[in-house]
Amino acid sequence: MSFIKLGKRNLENVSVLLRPHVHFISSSQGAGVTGSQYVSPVRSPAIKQVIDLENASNNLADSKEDNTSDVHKLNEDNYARAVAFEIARAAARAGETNIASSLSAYLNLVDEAPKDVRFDKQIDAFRFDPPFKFTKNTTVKNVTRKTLMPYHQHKYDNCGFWYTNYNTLNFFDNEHIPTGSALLYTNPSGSYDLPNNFSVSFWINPRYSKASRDYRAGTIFHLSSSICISLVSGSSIDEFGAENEFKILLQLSQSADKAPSLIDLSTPSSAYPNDLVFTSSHVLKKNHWHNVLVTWSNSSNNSTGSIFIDSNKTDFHIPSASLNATKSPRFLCIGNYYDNSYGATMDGLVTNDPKDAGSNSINEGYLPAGVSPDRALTRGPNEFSHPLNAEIHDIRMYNKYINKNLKKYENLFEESPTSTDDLVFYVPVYFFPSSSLRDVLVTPFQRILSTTNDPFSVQYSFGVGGKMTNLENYTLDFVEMRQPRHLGLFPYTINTTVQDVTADSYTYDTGSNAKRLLSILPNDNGLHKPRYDLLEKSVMSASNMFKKSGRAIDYSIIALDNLIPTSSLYPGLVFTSGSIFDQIVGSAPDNPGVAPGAVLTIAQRTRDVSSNEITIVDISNLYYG
Amino acid sequence: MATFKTISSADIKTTRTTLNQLVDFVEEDVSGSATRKKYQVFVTSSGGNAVTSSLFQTVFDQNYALQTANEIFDMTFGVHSGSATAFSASTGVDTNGKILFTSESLMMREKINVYRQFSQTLLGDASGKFRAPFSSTTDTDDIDNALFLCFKRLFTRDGVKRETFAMRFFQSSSAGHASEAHPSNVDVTATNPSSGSVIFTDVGAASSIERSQFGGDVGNIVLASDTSQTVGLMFYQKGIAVLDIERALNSNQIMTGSLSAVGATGVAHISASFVPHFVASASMDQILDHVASTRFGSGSNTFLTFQNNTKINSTLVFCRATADEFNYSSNPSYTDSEGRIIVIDESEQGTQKSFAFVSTIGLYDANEELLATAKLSRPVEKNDEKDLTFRVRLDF
Repeated sequence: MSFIKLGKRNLENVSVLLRPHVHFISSSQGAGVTGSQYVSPVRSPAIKQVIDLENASNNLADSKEDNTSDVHKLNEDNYARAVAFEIARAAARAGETNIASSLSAYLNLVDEAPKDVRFDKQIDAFRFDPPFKFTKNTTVKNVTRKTLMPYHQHKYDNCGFWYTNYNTLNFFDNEHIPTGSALLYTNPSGSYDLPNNFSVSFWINPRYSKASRDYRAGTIFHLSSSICISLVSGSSIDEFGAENEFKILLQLSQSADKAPSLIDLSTPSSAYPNDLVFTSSHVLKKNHWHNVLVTWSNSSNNSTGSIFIDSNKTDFHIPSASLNATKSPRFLCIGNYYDNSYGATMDGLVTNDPKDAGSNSINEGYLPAGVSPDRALTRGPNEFSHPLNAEIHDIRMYNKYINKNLKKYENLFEESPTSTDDLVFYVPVYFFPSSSLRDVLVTPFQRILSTTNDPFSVQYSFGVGGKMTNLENYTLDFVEMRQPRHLGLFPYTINTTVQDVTADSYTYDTGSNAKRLLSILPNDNGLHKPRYDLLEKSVMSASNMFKKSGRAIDYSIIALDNLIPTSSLYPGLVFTSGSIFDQIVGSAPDNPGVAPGAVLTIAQRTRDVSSNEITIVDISNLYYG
Repeated sequence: MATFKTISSADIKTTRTTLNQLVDFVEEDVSGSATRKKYQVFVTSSGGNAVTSSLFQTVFDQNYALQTANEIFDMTFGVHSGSATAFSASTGVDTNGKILFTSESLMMREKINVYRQFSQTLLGDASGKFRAPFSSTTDTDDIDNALFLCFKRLFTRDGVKRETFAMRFFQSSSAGHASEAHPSNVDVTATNPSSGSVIFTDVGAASSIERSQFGGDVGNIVLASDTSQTVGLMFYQKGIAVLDIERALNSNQIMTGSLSAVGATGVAHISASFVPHFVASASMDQILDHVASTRFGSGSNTFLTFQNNTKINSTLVFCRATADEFNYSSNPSYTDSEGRIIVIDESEQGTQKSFAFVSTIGLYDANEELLATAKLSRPVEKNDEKDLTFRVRLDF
């Protein structure tokens, strides 16, 4: 026997909230292990069965021979209880005034009455991921995908083997996650320089705060020496002691060069160079979606700008012609604050040749701007130390002043833009089926130089059964059609000797991998209506990734049907294991340490080229109506 | 695919059946503090020694902090404004009509208002007074000080079944501990197993069916050892038991102990009869705490039981398929392109009769709009040698 310590990362919890009032929990933690659910949502030990005298008598007669079992004892009690009750009633009817003894006998036996068996009825709920080999669960998946979904498609709006193309960028950090990650959009021609009249907007949901650590300012949008927008604590806490209200901190022009965490929010400095610091008077609530708009123009409203939190406005006044940096910043930083100087340190983050396999930024999906070698991955301790803790999407920068109180702009941010007119920068966080050339993870030990057009790494998924989001396919700026450098978010490989590692355990055990994997989340912002006109106008508009069941194009979905060509499979290879099979397929979920072979293992085994990165919950419709 | 047949009124029958469950409440649920929840909404405005109290308490079948806990019943106490208890504690009425009480009393207006609320609900008159027996016209049968037990609908369903209610109850409080300088019997837990208790019941109530216009059917709760003594009322449809404190308890027993009080010390010592002194001087929480922890026992035995009624209204629709009906399907896949029935061999065409499997019955209105569907647990074969009747039952 050996003891193995099971840490947090060995445990996986799934929670499904059903209606009415049924909460199914599947967990390997503590006493939470349940794989079934009671049929009756409300049960009480106080409700029992009524066994009348006739039934009690018959039951007792039936079990007469069974003299030693509990069944007989139960029937005896039932009979005695029924008799005591009937004696009391008969006595009362006969006019007797003392029925206490029979009622006492009845009361003494009531707690022995059998429980209502309906309260014990449970129905199992199963949750499973598609297996790596062909099993009955493969068949369940195929029947669901090929039979049930097409059959029920006319009844439901979104019944098919796809998921919605409405996503958020999820920024977070904790003790296991590196803080120095960010999206760096290169600014080679100054296209992202802060315009003289500008408006920056985004939707944000402050999801994360903990009572056990101080809340640190997290930067949302940073252009060095021009503008820095951060999320800061609003000094209100919930019942657990965690921050539950937040404010927007705005730093402009030269004031944007001071790290947001160093700004005293209670008494901000009014002296140059820290005089252009403003906070919103209105708050953002934790776990709520808010639209934020920062807008300013020297030619509008006497150089008065505004910070809008939804429709609540905070004005600020800057009598200046421009808030632009004197030198064009080399990149626009999303999700963190760049705390270093111009020059080589900044240049090095965004200049490299992606075809140079030895460079670092090639791992991070960066579109080339120059040819000089990029900087080493090592970053200074404070260089990116203001990680955002929130979900954001629909990030826009306009080259004009927008007064949200005007009727024409009233609903501007409730829908995605249909064109890039007046926009300088726009990241809707849509899936875009094209990416830069970069190193793509294929096993925990190997990467290959490739582009991607899928929502996740298909080689990694169909080869070794691992999950790895293709983050690069979600972060496109639709104005410049430019991908950022995903700083600190590239998939590392294992370069040491390890044993018994699975692809998923490797993914979740590595902080940057976990952060990359969770950087894209489904969007639950119902206040915003996504429109996909820009995808429709793009060069990838005819991609199969937007086709429902390979037919009608719908840009609001990401298809999961045919992720790899069936022609890549070996129809003649009938084995699913053994030496011949292993030689052909190479790396496999159970043997990820060898090089990938000529065909992807799981796809070859199951002959199924639809996504396995799904979870199926098999649960009775009693629980969801 | 559907084949239609008109259902006549003769094919539709309605029935009503009643289901019963046995309800069993155990002593420790009512006596335990983890299963009895207080809602301390009443606070006196007297500085440091303010008294805090609930207006009612709720008893649960498990620790009420658990997600699976169910509320069993609410328990509260009320005093009629015209009762001797109210008169003896009152010092008059102010210019606004507010009844004033001595400083030794506590929450008297709340106790009166609780009584008024139940009177309004069950008797239709907030000033009305409960009497036990219900139909009595004698003033001595008045219930001046009432303990109200309001059973939750989860347990009463459509009503408490008549003549099934039984409750074990300690009429006197145990004596205080002799070792104490001032023995208190206000908070001495009832003995376990039960001894010295009596049983209250409504068995025999069927002989005199009484009805309140607002509260529904009413039965008298009597002492089981002497059914001529009525101690309270049971409102069956409402699931509310009203116990007369003066008859259900030994109201003359001298209660000793400490009570919360507004004043310099915050505590008042009492040594006086249960009615009227204790019920006037104690807060609602203290009265309910005393009753709950000392009068029902504290073990795992049953202290209260009744049966409930669940009325089920059913509509039975008899869907008849005679020998020549429903032997064919209009499903396009039933026949081939030439109209031949696919499941019949070509060589058997003309000799073998058509047949179908009935899997679903749809009920349509006159406009042919589907109202309900009934699914068979397994398809039933229908051919010209079978005359079938499917009974579709709608329960509601």
